[in-house]
Amino acid sequence: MIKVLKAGLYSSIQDLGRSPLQPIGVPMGGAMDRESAQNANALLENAPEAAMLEITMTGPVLAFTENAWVAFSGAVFPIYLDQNKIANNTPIWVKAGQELRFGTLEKGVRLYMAIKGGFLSDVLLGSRSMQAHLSPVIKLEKGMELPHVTGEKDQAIILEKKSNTPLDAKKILAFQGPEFNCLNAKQQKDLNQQTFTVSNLNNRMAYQLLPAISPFEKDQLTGPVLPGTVQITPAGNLMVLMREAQTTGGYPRILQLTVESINALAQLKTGDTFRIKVLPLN
Amino acid sequence: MLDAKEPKPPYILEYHPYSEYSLLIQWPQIVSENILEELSAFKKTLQSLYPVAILTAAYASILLVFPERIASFPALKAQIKKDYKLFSEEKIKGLLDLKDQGKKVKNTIKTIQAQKILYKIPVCYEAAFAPDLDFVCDNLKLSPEALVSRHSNTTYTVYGIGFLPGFMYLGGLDAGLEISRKLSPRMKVPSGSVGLAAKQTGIYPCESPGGWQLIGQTPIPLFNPLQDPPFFAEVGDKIQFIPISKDTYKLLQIQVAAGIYNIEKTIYTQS
Repeated sequence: MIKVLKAGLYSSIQDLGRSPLQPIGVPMGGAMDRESAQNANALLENAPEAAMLEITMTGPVLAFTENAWVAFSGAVFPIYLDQNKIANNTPIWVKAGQELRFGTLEKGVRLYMAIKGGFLSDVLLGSRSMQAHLSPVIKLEKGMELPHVTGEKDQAIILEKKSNTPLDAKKILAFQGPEFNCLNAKQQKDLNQQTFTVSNLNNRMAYQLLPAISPFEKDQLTGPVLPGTVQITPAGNLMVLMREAQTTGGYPRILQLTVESINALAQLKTGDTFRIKVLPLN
Repeated sequence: MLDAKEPKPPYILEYHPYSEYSLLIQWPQIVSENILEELSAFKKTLQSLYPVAILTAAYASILLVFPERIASFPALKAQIKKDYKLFSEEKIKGLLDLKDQGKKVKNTIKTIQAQKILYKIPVCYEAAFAPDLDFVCDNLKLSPEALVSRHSNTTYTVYGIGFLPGFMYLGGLDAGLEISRKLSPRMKVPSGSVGLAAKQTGIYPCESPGGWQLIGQTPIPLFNPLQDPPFFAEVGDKIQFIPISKDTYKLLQIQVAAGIYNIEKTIYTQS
């Protein structure tokens, strides 16, 4: 197992989430940057649904009590295995007794640590993802013990493989949402020309953007939403729903981020800026 | 828009490509029992035609999410349009058959066509479980007895499930019970709390922050992540609240803890 010596800001066990339960109101959940998460698993030839660690902003300190293959993908931190600096995008052999620690975040926000065979924490409703309102714990805590499959030195691995998610995206691509045409010409232009900033209200549920575009009032019936849906509030604030968003919403849905752009946004943090390019989806 | 004059079937549906993987189907965007009924039936049809898709329904929309990218939206739209046409015609034919064949057959077909379940949820409206009851009664100028009777004599319709796992958007609230949300939301609303907010009533399926006016509480866990399935109702089903005393609340709590409580349910037949 792995012992959590220090928890860091926000690390959680994640896999691909619980999408079949959206009809009963369970958020999809799962890794925020799917591409980097899948890349970390792929390096170890894990099944795509193998559970891994999602590390956000500051890393934990982890002590290994068993041998393991691990692989990192996504955000860039200096990572130390005992005294040795190790790299992203390549498998690392860790021996029982070694410790893993992280320096100051250099680029991106979320780093994925896959482990050969996956973490073996409890399965709840078809997934090991820690999730608000469902899991007994929603992030790593000091003293926690994380069970995993013990590694064998001669297991299949892939020597190098990169994630395609940019860590400093300047352009976020989005399709027109069902209520896009309810925006007036000026609002549509604002969307395309404005530079947006990630506000400090950003987490696994949603990212609020700044500045607001002009106020927008529309009588809207509650309807389904997905991760990547951009809602507009009456004050004109844009809320981008992320992986742990609720499954229905009552604000107009003006945009839907592309799959790649959801991943890219998950690597942006408070104060990062970008522009939105609106695409047709036909 | 929500108070628009209600259109009659066959409805004109809108099909909106939603993401690379999903298509949104929209009925006229109004709160309507008729639309919901057709939507629930068409949702079942779609689920059997597209077994790999995940279908989320709410009020007057269905979102179909596929596991793979949709190769061609025009082709998918055309196919679903065709599905809807066949579905509508069969339904119309079904209704004609009903007229011709008399009451016995009518009941059978009705049951098969749209079997809705009525769930009875026990709720204790006594003060200890209803922190906002006094405020609501003062505000609506109702006695607690009148409030409880109006709230529990209605059969509510599940128009959507969302906001929290197992949270049901219930329609059909008595107009005399409409009250605005609390000015500042509570940081912690206990699981099982029954609340009022504008035209809605609902039950918090888990502890959560919330701004609804709380008028009761159910001892029954609505959403249980350790159970399969974790939740009982579907969009289109019916909910009724059964007033219970504090003693019954405690008794049911014991039954729940012992794992011997089952939510009372019956096939819903419109009177």
